[in-house]
Amino acid sequence: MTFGAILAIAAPVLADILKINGSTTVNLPTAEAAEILRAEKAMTIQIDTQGGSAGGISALGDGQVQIGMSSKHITEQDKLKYPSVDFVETHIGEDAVAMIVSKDVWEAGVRSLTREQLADIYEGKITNWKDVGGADRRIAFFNKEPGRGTWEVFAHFVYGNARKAPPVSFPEVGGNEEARNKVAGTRGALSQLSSNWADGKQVFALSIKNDAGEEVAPLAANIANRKYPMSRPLFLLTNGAPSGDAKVFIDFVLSPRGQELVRKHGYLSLDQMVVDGK
Amino acid sequence: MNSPAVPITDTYSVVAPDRRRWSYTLVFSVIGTAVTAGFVVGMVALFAWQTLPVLSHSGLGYVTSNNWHYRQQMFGALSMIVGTLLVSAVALCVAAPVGIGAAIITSEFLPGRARLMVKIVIELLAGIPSVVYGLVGILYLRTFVYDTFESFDLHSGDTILTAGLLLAVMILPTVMTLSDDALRAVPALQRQAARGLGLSRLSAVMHVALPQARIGVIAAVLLALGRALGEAIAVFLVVGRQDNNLPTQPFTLRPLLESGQTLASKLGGAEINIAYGDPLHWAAVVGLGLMLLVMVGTVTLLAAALTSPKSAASPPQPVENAPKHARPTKTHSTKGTSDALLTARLAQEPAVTRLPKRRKWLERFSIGSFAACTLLATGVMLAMILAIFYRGSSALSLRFFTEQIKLVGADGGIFFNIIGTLLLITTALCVCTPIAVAVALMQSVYLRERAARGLGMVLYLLNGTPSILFGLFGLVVFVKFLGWGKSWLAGGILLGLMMIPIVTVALVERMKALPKKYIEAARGLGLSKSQTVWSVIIPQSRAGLVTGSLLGLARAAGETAPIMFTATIFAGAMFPRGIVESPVLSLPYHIFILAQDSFDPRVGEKLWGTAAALLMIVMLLSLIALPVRLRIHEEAVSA
Repeated sequence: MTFGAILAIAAPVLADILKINGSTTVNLPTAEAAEILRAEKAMTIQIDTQGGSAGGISALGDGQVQIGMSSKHITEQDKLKYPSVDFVETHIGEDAVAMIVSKDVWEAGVRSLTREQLADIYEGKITNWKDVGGADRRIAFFNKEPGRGTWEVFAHFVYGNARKAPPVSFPEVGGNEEARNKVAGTRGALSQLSSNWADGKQVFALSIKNDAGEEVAPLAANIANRKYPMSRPLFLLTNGAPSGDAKVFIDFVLSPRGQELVRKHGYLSLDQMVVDGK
Repeated sequence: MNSPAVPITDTYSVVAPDRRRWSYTLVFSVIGTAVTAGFVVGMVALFAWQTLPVLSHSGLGYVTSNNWHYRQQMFGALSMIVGTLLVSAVALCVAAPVGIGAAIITSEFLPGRARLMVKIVIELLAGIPSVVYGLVGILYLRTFVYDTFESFDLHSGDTILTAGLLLAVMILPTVMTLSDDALRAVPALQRQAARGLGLSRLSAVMHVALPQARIGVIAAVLLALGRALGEAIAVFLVVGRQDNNLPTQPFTLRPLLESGQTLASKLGGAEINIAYGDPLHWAAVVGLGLMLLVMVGTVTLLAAALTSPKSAASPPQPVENAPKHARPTKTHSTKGTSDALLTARLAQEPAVTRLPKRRKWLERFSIGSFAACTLLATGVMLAMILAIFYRGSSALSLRFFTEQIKLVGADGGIFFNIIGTLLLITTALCVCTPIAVAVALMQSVYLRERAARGLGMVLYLLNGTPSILFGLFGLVVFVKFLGWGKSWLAGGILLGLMMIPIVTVALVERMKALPKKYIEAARGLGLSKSQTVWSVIIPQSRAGLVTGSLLGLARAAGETAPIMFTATIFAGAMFPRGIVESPVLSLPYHIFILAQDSFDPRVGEKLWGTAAALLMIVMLLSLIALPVRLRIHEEAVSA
């Protein structure tokens, strides 16, 4: 294998390096696609996940990478910050952000929260689970750190616009595993997390109760028809239309094999998304 | 974490001053010294300059107000300053008594061989990388704190206390090793004299040895404090990273049981990437680095000033503040064989053979608790190593070392992570060696006492500089200003700069221990200063160079903070083909990322396997260095 590795290194010496950075959520299928392309097409692909989606956007803006991974749309602020960059979003799949809770909360009977309840918890007006139908226990809220696509989706749902979210003070979590791990190990825990990480054994995904009083779970069907409110597109970002190695890469992710990887990691592939004229 | 700092004590000109003539050797020495001093000054200046925008925006509120909301362009760092102090205070309150107690046992009570064993264990503890401490903290300490303080209704197990306890273990070796050195530096004669006067063994230690070593012990605690203030990676993983959480109930346990944020943990986080490009936000972030530098610099320089030969109550000087009943030792403190014989005999026949019963119990209790400290320190160390190898062993196979990462860390191995780490530390060695030799020559050959002490201070400062600040500096200078992007060379240079004090100090210690007659013989043969340097001093001190380098490499191999923004990525890098945009993979960064982000249960096994592999590299380097290092060091301390 060492020998094989050395051969593999020797081969792509003349090829360009394709650099990718950004969202840890998008990273999962992307990294696996990169492994396949490295093996099959001898492409040299470097992937990093510094700073989440915001890190991907700024790395692309700074010209440090050819592809940014993002689980949120490019905003006007991003465009203002990098006026010379022509951000192009390529939609590769869809993911839902779930409000996840620890086992004790789930077993105490909390199954859903409304948007108002989420806002009150976020602003510190509700601090005990008994106020939302659970046991008498402090709500241990872990806020996803700034810049993460997960947080943006949450803030967008609760406040309509991420910029309207009030400044708060909570312990922060970064990567998905960190969030899952902390929620699993803390009684009364609540956090925002990509829904496919909720294993239903240690961490549980709550439904969102809509204005009609209906509890909508972050399931594939509800995400596809956009009934579940906190879903988000997964993007590969490029500066201008994809070209060269970036195009080869993105084409692969959009191919049936690439889309299979998106599904494998618990996201919805494009063909699973109901085209509802949106 | 880091190898314990060796205090830079007095230097003397190995070669007698002669007509000052420029030679290639001198030029080489000047250049190396200028690079080192220039880096320290340059870093301070760069940080100060880049901080200006936030000072004009927020004014004094930057340090006195408690509102850090970067989206609202509000930058008040008070809670981070308080968090840093709280975390360090907890660490000191635990590590100082335990470390000093253990040092009393190792230096005063243990027979030579047992003492050596304990020292080896502690040296190894000092070599464990901070990211590995962090990993252990996440898995064991966090749960421990959460369960132990359950009645306080904790938000979670990520608390100031958790971070402080983790730091306590990390700085314990520094306190212990340096206190042990300070105690060993007190001449045996004085203890013997005290024993001869009828003091019990413990009283001799408490009333004679410890008071005389107090300056050295205080310096040890200060240096450890410097380490605690600046630790980013381990704290990042367990402190909870809650902004603006200023304690509201002082004088209770409550503030320690809340999540918080320290200056260094903020600098290890995602905001660094977001901040760059927004001058104000960036200034606010760099300002945190500047504050950290000022805090650590003050503490480090204080320690350096205390141990500098002028102010230190160094061994040969008479006891000044010793308790009354110890005063008579003065009369015996002259050097001489007959005196030594006399006091040695006195020591064998204590004048008072029986202690009152209560005193006896007190004495036993004290020694017992010091021994418990020693056991605790060594026990924690062994338990950590065992836990890591136990959990990582299932991942360790040949494939693990020869394959590259697959499935985002869940499959495959760490071949290119090892290659990357080896490349980084080899580069660091190449950068560091010539500079360290140049600085060591400047320190012990060219400079007179006062200037040498000044240079010693610079080395002290460099040694104390938190590693996250090397990363911040590298991000500004190499990644952005020089446009290298992430590059193995940037990482290698930064790690090399970090190693300079360790290697230089080891070299200088060795140079000082050179018998004078070698130099005299060389001079007698008519060798010039440069010739003396290259044909006598350097060859004779190469043991110092080798051990210093090994220790420096052990530290460099485990560092995450200097390379995470400048040199390494998570996946996809292989052998670099150039400088610009040529990152490598590395072992510490791999652990740091997988500790936060793993999607598959199989990652856990690989994660611990990686930690075990990193530990093996670090410990191998420390172990090779150990025998020579201990010998040289003992000679230097007891000289």
